[in-house]
Amino acid sequence: MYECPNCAANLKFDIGRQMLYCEHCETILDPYSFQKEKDAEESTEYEVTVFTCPQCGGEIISEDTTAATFCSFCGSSTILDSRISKEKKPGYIIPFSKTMEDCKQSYLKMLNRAVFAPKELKDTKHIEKFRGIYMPYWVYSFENKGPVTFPGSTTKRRGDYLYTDHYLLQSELNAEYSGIAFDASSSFSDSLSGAIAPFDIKKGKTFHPSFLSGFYADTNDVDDRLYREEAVNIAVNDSCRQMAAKKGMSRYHINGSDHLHSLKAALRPKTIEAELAMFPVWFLSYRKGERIAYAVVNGQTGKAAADLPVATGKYLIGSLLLALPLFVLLNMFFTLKPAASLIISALLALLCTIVSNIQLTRIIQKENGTDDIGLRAVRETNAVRDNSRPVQAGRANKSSSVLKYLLIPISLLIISVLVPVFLFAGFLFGSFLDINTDIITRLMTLLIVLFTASPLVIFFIVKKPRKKKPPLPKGSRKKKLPVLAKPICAIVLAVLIWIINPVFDLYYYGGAVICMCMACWAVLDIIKQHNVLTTRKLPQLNRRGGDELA
Amino acid sequence: MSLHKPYTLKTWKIFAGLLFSLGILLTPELRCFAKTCYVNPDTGYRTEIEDDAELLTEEEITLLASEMEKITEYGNAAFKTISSNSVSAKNYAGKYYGEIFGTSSGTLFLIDMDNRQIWIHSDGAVYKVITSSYADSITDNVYWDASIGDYYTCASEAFAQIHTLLTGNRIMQPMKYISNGLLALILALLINFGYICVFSRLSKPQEKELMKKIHRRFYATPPSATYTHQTTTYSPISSDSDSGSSDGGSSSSGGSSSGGGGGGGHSF
Repeated sequence: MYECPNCAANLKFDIGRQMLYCEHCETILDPYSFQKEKDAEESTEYEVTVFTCPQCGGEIISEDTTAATFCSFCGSSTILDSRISKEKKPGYIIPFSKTMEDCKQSYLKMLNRAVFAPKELKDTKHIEKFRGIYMPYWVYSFENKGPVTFPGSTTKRRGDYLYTDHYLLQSELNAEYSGIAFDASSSFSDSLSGAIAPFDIKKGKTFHPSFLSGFYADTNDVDDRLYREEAVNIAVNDSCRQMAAKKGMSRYHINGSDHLHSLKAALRPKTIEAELAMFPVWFLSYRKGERIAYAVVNGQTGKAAADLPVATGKYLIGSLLLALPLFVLLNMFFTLKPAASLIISALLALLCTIVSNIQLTRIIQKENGTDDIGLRAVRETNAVRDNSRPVQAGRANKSSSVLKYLLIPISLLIISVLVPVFLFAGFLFGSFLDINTDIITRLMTLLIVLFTASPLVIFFIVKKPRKKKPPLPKGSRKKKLPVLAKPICAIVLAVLIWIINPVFDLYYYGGAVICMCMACWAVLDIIKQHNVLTTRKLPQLNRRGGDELA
Repeated sequence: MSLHKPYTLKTWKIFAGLLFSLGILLTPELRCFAKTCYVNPDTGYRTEIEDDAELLTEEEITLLASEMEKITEYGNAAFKTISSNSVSAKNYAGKYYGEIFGTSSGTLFLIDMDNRQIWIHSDGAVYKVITSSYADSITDNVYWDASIGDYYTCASEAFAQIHTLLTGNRIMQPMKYISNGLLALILALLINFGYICVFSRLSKPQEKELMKKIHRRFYATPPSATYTHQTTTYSPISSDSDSGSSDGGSSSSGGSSSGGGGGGGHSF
């Protein structure tokens, strides 16, 4: 706590003035003019009050000793336990420049487009719970000075031949990047911190604990090495763009696929440094049952982002309202034949299955922390510390890649052998045994469609992903199956009806109605999945080493 | 003087003509040949019934003909049944309609026993009302009668629904509304979900945007290039010379000779 030199009241950092301000005697003081006895300039640590949530173990620090009455991480209204502690002093800080009112406006503006969000998110009382928290960030600085050598080439055409002249290009480089930042707290998700980025590092100031007065701060529990490679890549990519844009470089195609790898290696920084910094974030949590959603506003730029769950009731009403004009339009322009109804409904069910599968994969990734580098690292550290085994992702990876490579020969076998055999058998039996040729024709059509589609499927299965994602843990398929089985069964039924081609429309319409009902059910499942994706399990942080999955 | 008048050549001709006419009437194969049942004196439109597949009784034909008369206020009306057909019901209906009515306005109801299909083909002003989608709806509504062998009811109901539409009234299309309703609902659910996905996405800023907010300095001297080696790649220029050529000629869509007409049908 910083006492006012005139009245001994609590001095707080005033956003408008960018100074320490006493609300009682209106004294204004420069934050740097204040020095606590225990916060010596040369010290690498500073003294703070650490508040710990008794429910989730989440910790926030403050210069203020006044009791904190709710936890921003789990949303519980409780008096947080407090203790005095020493924390590592960050290198610099970006002070809050957006007030609470600015923050609310940004948040409400963002919510305007979230028409299906629960009404509680817009509730005035709820919005009052926005809390100014300085979030810890790792700020990376890179330097690459000296001569660099990289390949380049020029190409000329003469007739049917391309003549490529290869060169070795040398340049004297002086590149510096400072300020590429990644959040250093496992309780602050990468997706949210990325969404409110960037912070203007140029307006950063040397850290002084007095800036925290009137606000809270989160402490770092993520190692700076975790985001180092990602930060290096950002700097190197920019260096490549800059180098390629240099006069006289364009003719050497240095940024082309042939030379890019060498160029990146040449421009890779020689010196890498990471420094801890505090960035301002307005933080709000919305708790519903055992799930929690966060809303954050950049305290410097006012950029807002939030986990936006969907209120199912609002979504259904909105969909019914939209369905009315669609129904009128469909009736004006379309009269679907029974078979067409069946096929369209089966395709819609297929679309729902694909979307649902994508959502379920993302849920599994999220629940295992594989989509958040910081959280995953902390979990692994905890697992090692607790002498327990981490998730056996590697094993799942091995088995899935074996399956993947088995799939190629199996598919080729089906394509090259079974399809022609089926086609031949169809013609043979159809002609000689007087079997309903229409069924055989449809069966063959289906096989031809699968035959045509299979190379596409193989391409998507074996293609190299753009970004390597951690494999799904074991048992993921079992989790997906109960949800995906409904629309898949409806699709199979539709295909069977289409192949059998019954005379009576009842079968077609029945199949179509079943497919559409299953598709509707699948869409509602998708919305539930969306709500799981846009909310989080209640955190069990047990500081530090936050693990909201525990 | 003879008591009997001798049979003159003229008398023999009349007698032979009567016998021939009687023969035609008694021969089933010839009996139904494009029988014009009725010509509307006001509009000039006519009804034609040709039951080649012998699906209706004489009484049913008479009844059907009288029911079809109402349609002649708007256009021609024809009923045709066939037991063998080498083309599709759709193509046959189009071709047959062209033969009997040309491009004149009207409608044809065909029962194709070979393909087990019923088909409605319309043309001219009638086609503007009895569109392909309505033809589908009507055949959907009446195919059941054909399935159970009640061809008269099937045809009678089809012409009744055609007449209903021509008089500006509506026909029952329950399944159309049910399937369109469900389809509209799913589309609405998916569209709204797409909207949710777009507006709730937490996207990271572009690298270029990040660069504007950090301290950055990049200086590089103009490069000195040292030639190392040359490689040659065979890469023939693709020729476009034959892409524009054409064998000429034209193709016409087979089947229908009636031009702008069309229709719809159903298996039974």
